[in-house]
Amino acid sequence: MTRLKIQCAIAVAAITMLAAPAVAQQGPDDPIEVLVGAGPGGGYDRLARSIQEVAEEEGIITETFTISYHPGAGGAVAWSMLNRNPGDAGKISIFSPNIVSGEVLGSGGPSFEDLTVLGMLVFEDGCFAVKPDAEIASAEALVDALQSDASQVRFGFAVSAGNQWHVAMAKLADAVGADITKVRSTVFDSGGKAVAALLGGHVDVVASGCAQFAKYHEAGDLKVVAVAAPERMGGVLTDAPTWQELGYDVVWGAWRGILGPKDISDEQIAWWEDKLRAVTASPAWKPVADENYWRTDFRGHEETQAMLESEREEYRKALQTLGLIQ
Amino acid sequence: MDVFLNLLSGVQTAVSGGNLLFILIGAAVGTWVGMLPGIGPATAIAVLLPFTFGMDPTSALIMLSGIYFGAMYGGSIASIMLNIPGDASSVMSTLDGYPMAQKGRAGAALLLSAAASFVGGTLGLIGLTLIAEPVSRLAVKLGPSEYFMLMVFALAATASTVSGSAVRGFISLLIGLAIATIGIDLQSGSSRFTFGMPELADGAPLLAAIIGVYAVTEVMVTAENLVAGRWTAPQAIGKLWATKAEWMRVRFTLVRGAVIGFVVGLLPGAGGAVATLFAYSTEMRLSSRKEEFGKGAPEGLVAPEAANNASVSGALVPLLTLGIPGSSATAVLLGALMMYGIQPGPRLFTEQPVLTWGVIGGLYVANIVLLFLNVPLIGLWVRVLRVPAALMMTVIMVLAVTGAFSLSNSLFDVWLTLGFGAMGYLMRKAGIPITPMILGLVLSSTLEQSLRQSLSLSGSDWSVFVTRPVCLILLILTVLMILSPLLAARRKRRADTRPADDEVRPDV
Repeated sequence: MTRLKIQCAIAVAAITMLAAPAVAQQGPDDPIEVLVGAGPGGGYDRLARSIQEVAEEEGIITETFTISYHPGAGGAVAWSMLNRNPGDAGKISIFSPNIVSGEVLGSGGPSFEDLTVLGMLVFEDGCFAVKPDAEIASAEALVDALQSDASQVRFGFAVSAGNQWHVAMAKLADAVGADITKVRSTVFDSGGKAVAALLGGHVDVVASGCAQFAKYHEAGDLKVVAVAAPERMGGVLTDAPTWQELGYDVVWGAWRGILGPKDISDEQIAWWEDKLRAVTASPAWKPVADENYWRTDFRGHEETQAMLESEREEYRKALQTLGLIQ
Repeated sequence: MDVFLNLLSGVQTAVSGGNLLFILIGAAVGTWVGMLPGIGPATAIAVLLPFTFGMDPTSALIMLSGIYFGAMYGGSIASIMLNIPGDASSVMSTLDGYPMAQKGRAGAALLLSAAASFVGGTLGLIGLTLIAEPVSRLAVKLGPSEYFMLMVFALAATASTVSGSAVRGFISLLIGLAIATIGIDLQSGSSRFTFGMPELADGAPLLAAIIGVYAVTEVMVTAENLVAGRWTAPQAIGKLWATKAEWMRVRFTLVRGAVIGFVVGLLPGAGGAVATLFAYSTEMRLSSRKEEFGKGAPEGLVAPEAANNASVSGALVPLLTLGIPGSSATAVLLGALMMYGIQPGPRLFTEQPVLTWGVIGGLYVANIVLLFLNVPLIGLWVRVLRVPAALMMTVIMVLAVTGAFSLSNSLFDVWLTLGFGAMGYLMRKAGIPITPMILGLVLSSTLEQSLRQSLSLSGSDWSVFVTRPVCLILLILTVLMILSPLLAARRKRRADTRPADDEVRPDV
């Protein structure tokens, strides 16, 4: 009897030891909750759903995803909710440049340093669009207008002052030698309203993510005159040159990545890095990214952390130039 | 004709392959959800959106549009029976709908409201079918300057909602405008009255205010009355259905309300609330029985009801022709489309005719379904009045708190709602009307932002408000609207002091 018990005990111990490495590699608890910091259908939502779809299709992540919406403050409401569960790698959210521009503007909400950055996934480079039959109907005309009298240029963008599209225009103005503070920069509360303003001739140029303009460019109602990207866009925008081709070094836009609450263990961070890298490298990802005009460029925890620190400085300088902060 | 063929095939899509079932589900769920305080069409669609994944996009969109329409029907039921609007576009229906029910005409009110919703919906859909494309091209010509003047005009129109003291109405409006300043300012990015809380960055949520000052306040006031023994339940008197006289009074109101609702709905910057406001104040201006408004005038109920259903079709015009949402609910529909992999744009009708005409056809069907769904239930709703007040109020409180929580899945909104409830209670005690405050909240952000957008784009040139033709027209209309009660009062005074023809006059 005693020998049997000892044998059982050894067997149990052996099995447990076999299981131990598996436990260390195990991901977060099922289900994974994605807290989307905006309403359904927006940029954050689409990235969350794209990751979910591709991860499921390719079998990369087997845990179930649930997506909940917590709109407000450009994402800050969702990010601040994450820290109610410190250390829980099963609660994640999507971040964008709002996380640094919001910090610099003092809009409230946590800094990325109070959270755990898990990885950067995609870049959404900026497209500059005009109305084809308007006074400013080409990249050259836009540059001319900026250089001759910037105060006559009506620039529209969405969704908040000092965001990536505002800064993209500031970078362009800087590259052509114009004063961004003279430009008539006007904020609209949604991309749709900015596009409507452009279609109605109320603004001369709008900067936004390329997906916003693709259908209008295709139909000829609007024209994307240049993109602030390292290479030309695909899809219907292959005829739009980059600003670099035109002689101006302007590469700027939105970026999106994943973050979680603070105090996530290193193993869990590594788990997320592996999974997200696999998702973005999988064959199912490419068509999804192309459809959304995303440029995929995965970076892990350390690299993204460093990138956010430098971006924060960039935004600080840009917002000072724009006169939005002291 | 092309259009009719397209429409017929759209209706065919809408009734085939299980889509009819989806319309039924959508309409029923939409009506039910629309009745809940603070859960309007936008929230209803957003909440039910995840259930549509895996469905064919056309079927999903048909169902979601059914929900949209249903929510407009449902929002009025709660407005009329309980004085608790479903969302901002049902607010105007409380002004005359609730007094009508309190006077014992609840059945008539519900019937007129259903009829108005049906007529408004149908006329709006005809507009969507026939003139969507050219009208949307015209609509984008309205820019920030025009929107500013439109909001000023709307502010002047809010005066029409006040049936009591004008000063108190004005105070209410100012409270609303003041609350609306909370949040991150759009043009400059600076935080106003947010106290560092990201939850307030987008401002005090309108729906929290609506649930608070209508539902929670109503519960508080009723509780007070019950405890003090002052509560009497209204009895249904007279006929359950509307009288011929009532139908005659509203026969033109139905059309006017629908037209106004459609036109305002198709402006991307104005939604159901503004549409119902204009419809209501137009009816009041044109009526020979102004003093009845606010006390149960059938026109006062029918106009906003027709307008809010017509505004649904109006809001779909820019979405389907340009890919630009015309209201917050259509913004959610836009998100839904993008999630199904369909990018709305200028060519949606040509690229996705089955989808677009299927949705339009589906709405015609949904409209009919909703009429047949709602009218027989009127007898049931009227019996709600007989539910003991204490029980009713408890249910409403539960619904209010749940609704407030569902706005962003956060308890913060619940606290805000309760705070608004307390504020509404104090306002009622002070005799300050609630509606102008809500209207101020609704109009204020567009008002302020349009002004600043306009000035930014014109280079601080104020003359745009008189040189742009639409702005000038709106300015003149506003001035007329402000002056008209004063002119009417002067005319009345002159008529009063002039001696009657058959009075004996002393020899001069």
